[in-house]
Amino acid sequence: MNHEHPNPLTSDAPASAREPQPPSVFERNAVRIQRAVVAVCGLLVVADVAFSLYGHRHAHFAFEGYVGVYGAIGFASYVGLVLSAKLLRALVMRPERYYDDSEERP
Amino acid sequence: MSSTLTQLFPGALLILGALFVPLFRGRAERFRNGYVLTLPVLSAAHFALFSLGHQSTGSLFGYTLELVRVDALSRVFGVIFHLAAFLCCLFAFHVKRPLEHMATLVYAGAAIGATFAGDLLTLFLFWELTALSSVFLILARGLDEPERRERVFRVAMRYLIIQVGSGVLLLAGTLLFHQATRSLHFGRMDLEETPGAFLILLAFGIKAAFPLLHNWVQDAYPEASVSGTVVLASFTTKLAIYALARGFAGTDLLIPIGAAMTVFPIFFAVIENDLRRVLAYSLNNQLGYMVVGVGIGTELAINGAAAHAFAHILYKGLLLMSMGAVLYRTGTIKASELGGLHKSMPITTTFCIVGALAISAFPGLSGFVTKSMIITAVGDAHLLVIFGVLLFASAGVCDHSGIKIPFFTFFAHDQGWRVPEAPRHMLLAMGIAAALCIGIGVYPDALYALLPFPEAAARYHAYETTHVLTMLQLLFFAGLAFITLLKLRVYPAELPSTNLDTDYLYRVVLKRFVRESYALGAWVCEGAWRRVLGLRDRVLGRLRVAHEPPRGRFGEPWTVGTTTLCVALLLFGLLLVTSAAGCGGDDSEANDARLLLDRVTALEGVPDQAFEARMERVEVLRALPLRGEGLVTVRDACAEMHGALLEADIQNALIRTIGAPTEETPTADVQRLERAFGAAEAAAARVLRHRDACVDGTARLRARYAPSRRGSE
Repeated sequence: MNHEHPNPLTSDAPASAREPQPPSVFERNAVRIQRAVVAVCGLLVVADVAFSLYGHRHAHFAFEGYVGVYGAIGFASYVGLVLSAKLLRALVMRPERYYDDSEERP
Repeated sequence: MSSTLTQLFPGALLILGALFVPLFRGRAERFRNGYVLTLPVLSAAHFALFSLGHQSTGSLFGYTLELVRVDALSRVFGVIFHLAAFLCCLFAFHVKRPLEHMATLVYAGAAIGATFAGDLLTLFLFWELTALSSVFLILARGLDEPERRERVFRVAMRYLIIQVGSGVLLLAGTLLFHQATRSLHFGRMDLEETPGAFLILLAFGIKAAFPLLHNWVQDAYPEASVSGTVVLASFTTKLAIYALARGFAGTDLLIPIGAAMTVFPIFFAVIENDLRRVLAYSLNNQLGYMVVGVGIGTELAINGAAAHAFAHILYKGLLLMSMGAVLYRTGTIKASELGGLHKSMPITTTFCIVGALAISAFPGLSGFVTKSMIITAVGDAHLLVIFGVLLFASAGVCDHSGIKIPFFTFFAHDQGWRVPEAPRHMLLAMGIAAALCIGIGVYPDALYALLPFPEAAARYHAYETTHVLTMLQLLFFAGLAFITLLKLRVYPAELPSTNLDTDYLYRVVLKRFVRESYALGAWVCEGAWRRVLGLRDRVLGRLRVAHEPPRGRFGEPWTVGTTTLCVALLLFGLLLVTSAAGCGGDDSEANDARLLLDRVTALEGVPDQAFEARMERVEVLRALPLRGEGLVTVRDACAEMHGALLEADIQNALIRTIGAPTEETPTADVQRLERAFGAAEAAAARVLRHRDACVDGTARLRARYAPSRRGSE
């Protein structure tokens, strides 16, 4: 039970610790996990259809009445966010030591 | 007994207890962790003695202070702050330095004290104490890692300036507020009532990380120690949310502010490489939801803000603890250097995923049952744009906190880290936090009962089919988008980088501005000094001219009345001075002589061709009032002589102008020439007559008074 790592904050892990290991259960099933997400998305849309036919939807706004609208919002927001953040990089990204260098100058 | 204990404010035991932490050293050090962990428990027990509605007042300098006020709003924050203090102390067991434990305890105690402050002055005191104590959590990292000392010190000072600045604004606002309302009571404030309320809102806004006032969070939090970041993230900003809920509930201005807060940090979170900084941006985004809730101000919305703060402290603490454990084990927290850690740290991975799901508001976890209250309140208020913004931000949270944090740390590309699992005390702290995240999600009624408006909370049902279905759709389709972007290879890679935020303004622009303006100032000062010297010369010149008769203003002839008055005043003044000084020395003859010599010298200094100037000066000399026969003689002689010289020169000039007479010279000119010759001769004779008297007289006077005359110039 070696719970204490030697000097953990100041040293990188020793080189010998960086050995290849067999892929874990997640790595072996990465594709299956992705397919499962797709499948759940499909199921949710089906559930939405069923719910809008047989259930009572609580809605504040008109747009909420469409089937799968939240899925569309989630997908579009996510893609929009990530792509625009990528554009933001062009504007704000600097080298890692940007401030260190500018602050070290007398 | 209980009444004696309730004299102390809640949290006092933490602050008092912190003072004894340094005693646990040497052989007693092994008891320190136990002692530190006992304090939050004791403080919680102490807090339990206060009944709802408790008030204790005191008086200071004639002001009535409300040291403790326990109501439903402050109680829920008091509970979560105690819980957070306990978890933070547990998580920090590995820390050897007493400084960090002390800072944690004082900071937590101050935050709890501020929560129960019933008046603005008490609030201010605790407000500043949180700033002063928390800065040591940042500085502590510099002690452990000497190579970061410089960087950490700079961060700590930036943090301290902003935090103390918030306190100063609060104090100024408090004074203005007191002036306007004659009360220090900390309750609902109206922005229209007094400008003090604006300053107080600004002070709260700084600590709540309002847009553009936010950057201290992302600057300072990730630079603290492994455990320090967890502590920092638990108290200050949530205290500010409490203060906003207390003072500005239902202030419409807060709704757009909060909505902006939910949106803009998520862009930065997507591209940030330091994962604890990602969480700091995410924290900012979560605060946005609470600020929107406070701004709407209905019972449901205030409940939502308080509940979300409660849940947020737990899941944000959990996420920061898991990242802290990774930093503790690997020595880095950069996404570009991490990956595949689920093999080495499976338990930490699990806890992190629980926290990620909770912050993403996955049904069944704490975030879902609290955030949905705020979103429902926005829907009830029919604010379509704000509603849309919050949905967009929810998808954003799902990205940076729900997916990016666990994915790039524990999965993604295996970077080959083979480290031990996190220490047991960290796992325990994370386990408790994770259990609470799940517990609140599964059984929200326990939290709902604590909320400021328990009846409204009891009427609210989080697990409505519509809510669950829509939220699941949002999250899973966001996950689908992540997978799609990853497959298409357009998901932004994790890059070692620094991203500019508003701190660029004060870390670079302001610095450059100060430096440049210093140089500019030096340049301006030098020029200005030269101008001052020039101005001095000009003023002195003007003064000289002004005193130069007869053109100078002070040289003009005065009326008899004015002169008499001046002389009378002068004499009276002289009388006073001489009688006071007891001396009556009269050196008027010397003064007169010097005056005369001055005039003569001035006359001699005028160029020969400047006839008019010479004439003026001759007149001045002739009119010079003098006492003493000798002086008058010399004056008259000199005036006559110089007058004659001038006359001779003028006639000679005239003669030269006309020129030597020839055959063609008109008779008139010949006559004029003759007259001129005659006048010149007469003048020359006058010069000769007065010359001796003038020259000898001035030579005599010069011999006698010259030394002082030179000295007076």
